[in-house]
Amino acid sequence: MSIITITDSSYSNGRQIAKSAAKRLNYEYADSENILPLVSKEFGVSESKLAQALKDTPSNVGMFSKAKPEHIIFIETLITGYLLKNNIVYYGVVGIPLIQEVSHVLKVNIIANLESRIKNRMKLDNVSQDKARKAVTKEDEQLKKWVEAVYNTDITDPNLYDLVINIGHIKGDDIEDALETIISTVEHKKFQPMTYSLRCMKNVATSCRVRATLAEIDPKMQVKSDEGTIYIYTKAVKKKAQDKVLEMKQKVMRLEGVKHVEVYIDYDLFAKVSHGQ
Amino acid sequence: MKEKLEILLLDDEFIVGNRLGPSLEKVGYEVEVFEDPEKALNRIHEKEFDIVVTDIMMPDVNGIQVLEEVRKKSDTTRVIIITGYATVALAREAMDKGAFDMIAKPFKPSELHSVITKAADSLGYKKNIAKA
Repeated sequence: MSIITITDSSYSNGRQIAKSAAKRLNYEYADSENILPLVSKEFGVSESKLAQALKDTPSNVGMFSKAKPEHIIFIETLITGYLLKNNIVYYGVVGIPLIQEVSHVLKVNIIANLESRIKNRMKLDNVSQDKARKAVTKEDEQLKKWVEAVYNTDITDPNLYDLVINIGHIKGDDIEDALETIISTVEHKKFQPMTYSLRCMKNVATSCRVRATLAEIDPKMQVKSDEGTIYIYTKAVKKKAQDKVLEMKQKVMRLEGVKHVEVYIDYDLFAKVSHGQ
Repeated sequence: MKEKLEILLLDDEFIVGNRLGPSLEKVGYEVEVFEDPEKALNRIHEKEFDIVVTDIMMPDVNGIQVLEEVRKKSDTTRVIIITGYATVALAREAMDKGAFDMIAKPFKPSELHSVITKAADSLGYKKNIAKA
């Protein structure tokens, strides 16, 4: 009745471990890639644009890129909604920093020896050692930058995880050992859902749903949710604040389970100057 | 099996017991309400309750200590933690030490009723309980 999230450094076989764990536990398996068709269907954004949003490094994310912050919010919304179901193994980084306070989520990070990962890449993609080394290093850096830009978090920080497993040289035995460790840990009573943790997960999912609903207005807003009460923190110029608050409240109140909305405005100084206020 | 499910409710805030106690009695439970953790622990040593509902942050004795004392006395008593200071660490510690469930304050009486119904079911009490 729990959730397992697995992230990894590139070519550390995290996906394989996640799929095997799901199979052994009879849990559903999900990752940020196989969820894209559902996101595309719900939010009307092409899968290629969504995939781009997961890959673009911070310098490319912005108004001149196909990757928009709202696309990441849409993906987070589907993932956190999916995690409400429990009995799921989720492989990926999207949303991980959002669910830190959910006690029935076992957060796992898989790491492995760099030389082994390079060999793994050479074997899987049939490339030279030099190319494999560059690619593995680049992918690690890209992921780190992406997570820093989106969540202001260091994805390699062990404090983000309940378990950091070093599978060393990526041999069959190491992978099997990692799997056993994950399975025996998640069976522990402290990772079982309870009223409090289910409420935390629901609040996270609702906050994401609100952000997705208002992404067009302000993709950078902060949203907190507690049992149907929504707190929105956004920026606006004074002149337009009232209209913005009204529009936000109207849109959010239409969402299922929302009982009350509070909007807090931080008056944008830069916008004030540019509007001559 | 006993006719009525016996519940001990411990919270150092008078208003919590004053509000929740009668609402639980109204649906057919036998409830003993305590504000003083020491007195509650003495009662726990005297009598085996079906369910213990306890706050966490209290003077002198905290809810985790109450949970540990209940576990020493009984494997079957269901302990439900209610707290205004819920964290992931506390939730895991409580479950690890054998809590049945944990609810973050503020909550509606109906939420506690729902958790108590689950605890009662797990103890084999399947009788129809009037809705709160």
